[in-house]
Amino acid sequence: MPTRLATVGPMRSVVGAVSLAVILLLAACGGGNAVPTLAPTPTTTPLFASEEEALAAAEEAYAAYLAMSGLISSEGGVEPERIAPFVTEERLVDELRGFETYRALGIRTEGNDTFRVLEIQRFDVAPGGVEIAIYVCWDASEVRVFDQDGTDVTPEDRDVNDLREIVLVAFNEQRRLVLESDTPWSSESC
Amino acid sequence: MVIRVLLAVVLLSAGGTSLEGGTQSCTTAEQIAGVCGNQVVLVGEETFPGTPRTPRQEPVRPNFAPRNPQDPQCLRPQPNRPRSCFQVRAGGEAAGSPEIPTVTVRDIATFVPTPGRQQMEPDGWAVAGLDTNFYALTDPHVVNGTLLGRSADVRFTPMSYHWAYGDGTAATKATKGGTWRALGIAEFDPTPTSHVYERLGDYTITLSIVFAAEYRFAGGPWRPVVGTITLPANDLHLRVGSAKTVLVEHDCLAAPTGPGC
Repeated sequence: MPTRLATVGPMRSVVGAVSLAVILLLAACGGGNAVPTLAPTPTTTPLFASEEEALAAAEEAYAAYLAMSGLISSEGGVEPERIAPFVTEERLVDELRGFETYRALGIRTEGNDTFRVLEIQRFDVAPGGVEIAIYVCWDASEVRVFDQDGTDVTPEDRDVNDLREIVLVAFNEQRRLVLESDTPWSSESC
Repeated sequence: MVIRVLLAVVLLSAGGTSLEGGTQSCTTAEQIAGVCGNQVVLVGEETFPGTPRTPRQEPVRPNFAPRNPQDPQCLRPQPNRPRSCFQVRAGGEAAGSPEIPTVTVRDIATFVPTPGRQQMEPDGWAVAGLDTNFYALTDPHVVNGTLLGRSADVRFTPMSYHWAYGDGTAATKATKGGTWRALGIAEFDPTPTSHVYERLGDYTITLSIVFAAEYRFAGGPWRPVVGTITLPANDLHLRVGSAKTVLVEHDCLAAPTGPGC
């Protein structure tokens, strides 16, 4: 069967080329009548070729967000605008509020948080962009919080080791995934 | 450049780590410091150097599929999903405003989504050790009816697909898959929804599709329905055989009953 298909392809091309030549010839004989042409169809290159590629990009984008969030937190919340390239405009409002809290309380962090991707929950391609939701196990139990005097003020009852749904979006214009939401699922633990 | 920034004093609220019921998201930094849900009271201002942030021109958000408000174990199709999957959760947009009712899947029981269908390539048979491509035929669709005494639309959106392949294995996919041709790949290539049978035999394949739902009244905005609905699709039956290539003297297409064909 593949052999048959292979021979059909070139034949179609030949037929197509002949047809095109005939059409052009007729058009040339038509006394200058304009040949109607189709407007070029705008094409958009998919942001991701496959779900696996999207998942890898989501993991990378979330890691970049966590890294920058951790850096700003470790510096006491100064220059919080550095988080902007990693989040949506709406999420940025929350981020700035969070780092403002750090500055107001005079706290900073030490240590790194980690995560591992459990699975992709949703991969949605719509005109104009891509949305990806993944489940991750996020663990910040190694991150400690210190006040201005260097005293460890890490709350004991914080939730820093849980299953989260991470939603990232990429708009065609930006072609880069940014964090939209980050929701803990209290019913499941890692 | 110097910008003026308000100095904030934070009042710690007791146990404020819950996100439900609030409109703000708790950020990673807040979560780590255990300061989620704090009230920020502005009491003064100070001046310090910095760079003003220019608002980004964020594009209009595409119309992505609706969010599923449920926890993961409700999203994942499984035979014994907890009862909480069908119960109203406290908080959120709906609970806080009397004019926006909270609607659960129980409320829309009279709205029945169109069941999806499944097909396979090759049709009805498979080769042991090679990929068999299963794919679902379903799309978001709207059903009209009466909800809470008012005329309403309910939109069902397929969210996940649970295939049981009949050989003791099963898989849940986020994509409905497609034909090899539609995916632009060669026959028997792996697809996101394909499956490889290792043993010869006859198998029955079942598919369950999980739908999320939204509702609206009189052309108003779509609002999520709490809960998901799982519907079975048609069963498929296939026979798994083996394939081997032999060299024969004549063209089997021309002489199908010829020796070796």
